[in-house]
Amino acid sequence: MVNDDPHDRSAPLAGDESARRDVPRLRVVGKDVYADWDAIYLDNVARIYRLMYSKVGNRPDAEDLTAEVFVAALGPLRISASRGEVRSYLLATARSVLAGYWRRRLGIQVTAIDPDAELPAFDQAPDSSQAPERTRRVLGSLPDRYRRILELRFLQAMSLKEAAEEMNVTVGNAKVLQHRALRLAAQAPGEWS
Amino acid sequence: MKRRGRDLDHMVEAVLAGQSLPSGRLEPDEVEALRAAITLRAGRPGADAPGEEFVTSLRRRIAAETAEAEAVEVSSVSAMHFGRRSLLVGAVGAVAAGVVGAVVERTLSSPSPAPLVATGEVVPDNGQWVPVAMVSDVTGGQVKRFSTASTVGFVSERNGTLSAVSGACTHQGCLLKLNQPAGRLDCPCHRTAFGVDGTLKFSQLDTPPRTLPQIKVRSRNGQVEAFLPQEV
Repeated sequence: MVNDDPHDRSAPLAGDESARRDVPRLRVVGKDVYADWDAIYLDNVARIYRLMYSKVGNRPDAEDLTAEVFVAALGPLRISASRGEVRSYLLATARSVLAGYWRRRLGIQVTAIDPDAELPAFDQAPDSSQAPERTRRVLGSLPDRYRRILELRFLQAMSLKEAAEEMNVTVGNAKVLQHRALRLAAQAPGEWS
Repeated sequence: MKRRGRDLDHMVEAVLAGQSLPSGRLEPDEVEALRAAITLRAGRPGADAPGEEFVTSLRRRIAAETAEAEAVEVSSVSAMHFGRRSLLVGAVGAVAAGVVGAVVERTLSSPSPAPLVATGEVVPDNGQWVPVAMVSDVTGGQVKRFSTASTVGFVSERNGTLSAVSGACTHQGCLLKLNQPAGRLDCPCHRTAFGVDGTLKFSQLDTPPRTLPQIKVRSRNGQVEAFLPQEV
């Protein structure tokens, strides 16, 4: 009658560090398998979020898409799958979630994630961001004035007016510069294929 | 063509402002320009780190959804009276009907209407005394979990007085886990814990769940008996 629930699991309270130390996990976990969904989530949430942020460039959409990926993967994904399988599955899910996003936003098919190409970066430590390096490469390929307007606007968060003053041009000129610089940046080889 | 140029401008402005992207119709080369804008914006140092609040709230959501899926899974294999799901439903049903000897029930900073506060002991209409533990089980500050076909609860003893509380969280009825070292009852579904006297210790929920209903208990012949609904 006492402590007789056959389904009783002594899982510690999420986030409770003392309980986490005191109560042994019931599952013996190999290093290549996740203990539970919480472990899958904690290990991959930053990866998925960074990936989504790099594709949409804003926090609200990146958060929505990240949530959509995990919720979509909850049902079909078995936690007994290996670490690599889990990541591949999450990446494939991210791809279709993002494709749906662009269909809704632009009304066209945009393939934004190539799982094979993304996987190596995706497997890196979750707190290592590739984004600044990508940005640096793109900017490095541009003529000075184009690079400057994009730096001021996109990296230093200046308004068009502030950027124009900084570059000693009119606001109209700054706008045209930005427009042309983006189109040129879009042609940077190998960056957007 | 001009209209489409404006769509790109709007989308690039949203990227710069860090806002959700609006819908638009872009030419293929404009799609590429938008991608360039997005990549540049994402390269702002530290911009692509997920927010702590977001990570925590999604974690809770995932935990709640997996717990729900497990509960359904368990219910499908528990054909007998003592399955986890039937215990859960029994306990929750009893709590909802107010028949599990609720002595005092308080509402903690809850905006809900008038809290149910009993002036005396509330007992089941069809109750009976059921042995749920040995008195020796709970001496020395020990807490014992018990379960019957209708109820799950925890018995404890303090200063010579026996007491028992419902073992179902007052939020969604998840079965509480005894955390003996910390002297509390943890809810596995949402970050919430109660003291063994039923008071709320902490909760992640915006509206804190109510205290746990008390279950009337007595000592008889070395056994702890609880006044519980008759088993059917």
